Amino acid sequence: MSPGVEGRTYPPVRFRIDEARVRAFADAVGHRGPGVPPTIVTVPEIATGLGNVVSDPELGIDLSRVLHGEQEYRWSRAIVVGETLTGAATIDSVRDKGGMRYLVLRTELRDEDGELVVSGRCTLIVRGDG
Amino acid sequence: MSVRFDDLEVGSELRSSVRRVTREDVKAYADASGDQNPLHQDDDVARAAGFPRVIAHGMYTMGTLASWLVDWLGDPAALLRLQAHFRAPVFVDESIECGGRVRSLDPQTRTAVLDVWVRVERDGGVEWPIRRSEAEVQLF
Repeated sequence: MSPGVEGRTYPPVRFRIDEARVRAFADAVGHRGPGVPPTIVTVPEIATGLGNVVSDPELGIDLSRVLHGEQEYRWSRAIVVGETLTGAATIDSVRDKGGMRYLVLRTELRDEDGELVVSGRCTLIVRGDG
Repeated sequence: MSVRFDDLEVGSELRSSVRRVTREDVKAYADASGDQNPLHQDDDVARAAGFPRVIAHGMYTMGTLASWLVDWLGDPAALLRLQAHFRAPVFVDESIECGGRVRSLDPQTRTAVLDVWVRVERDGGVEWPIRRSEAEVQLF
């Protein structure tokens, strides 16, 4: 892997929190309400993060070797139906340890006023060939 | 709110909750989240990766943990932070149990930090798909 991928920012995504999406996501995670399931922010986070990471030729990552090691979210407020969140993932760090590669991605999602709604920190583990 | 700050003590344990992980729910999570990694849908791919059958997304398990916390809190806005270490896979057709304990309380902000986990009974033992993880919650 070439150096210099740390700090790389992927194209931003726009994600509308629509009713149908909320219902489908709520059913999948067993959210009985009220309101929007907080981890629905995973959807835009994947779109700008993992989705771009695995197609980044400089990283050359095979999706079938990717494990999710750790995840953190900090919410400034609850997510609201009808709003649109925008954000881009940045590669925070890349470390190799014990035959594994650890990629830390950070994604801040903001509302239409530019206010921070949630920040996510995702650690992906890429298993080696062994 | 279904829980109040004054009702909590450091060390008190939250009532745990069990959820059956079905293949249908994991497929629904793949569709809802956009994570279509075949590891979560195709037994052959899962076996090639060393698992007996498809595994749930880590975020399916974390999402279930968040739903359980929101149920307890009564309001999604009360969940300020959730951090999870994924320590073991969850196989479809298993039952996962979400649990937690109050680690610390801040009377000034009326917030609490909880140790949270997800456990599963497997082959006569216990595995911890999520462990050494924490949530910060706002109470009133």
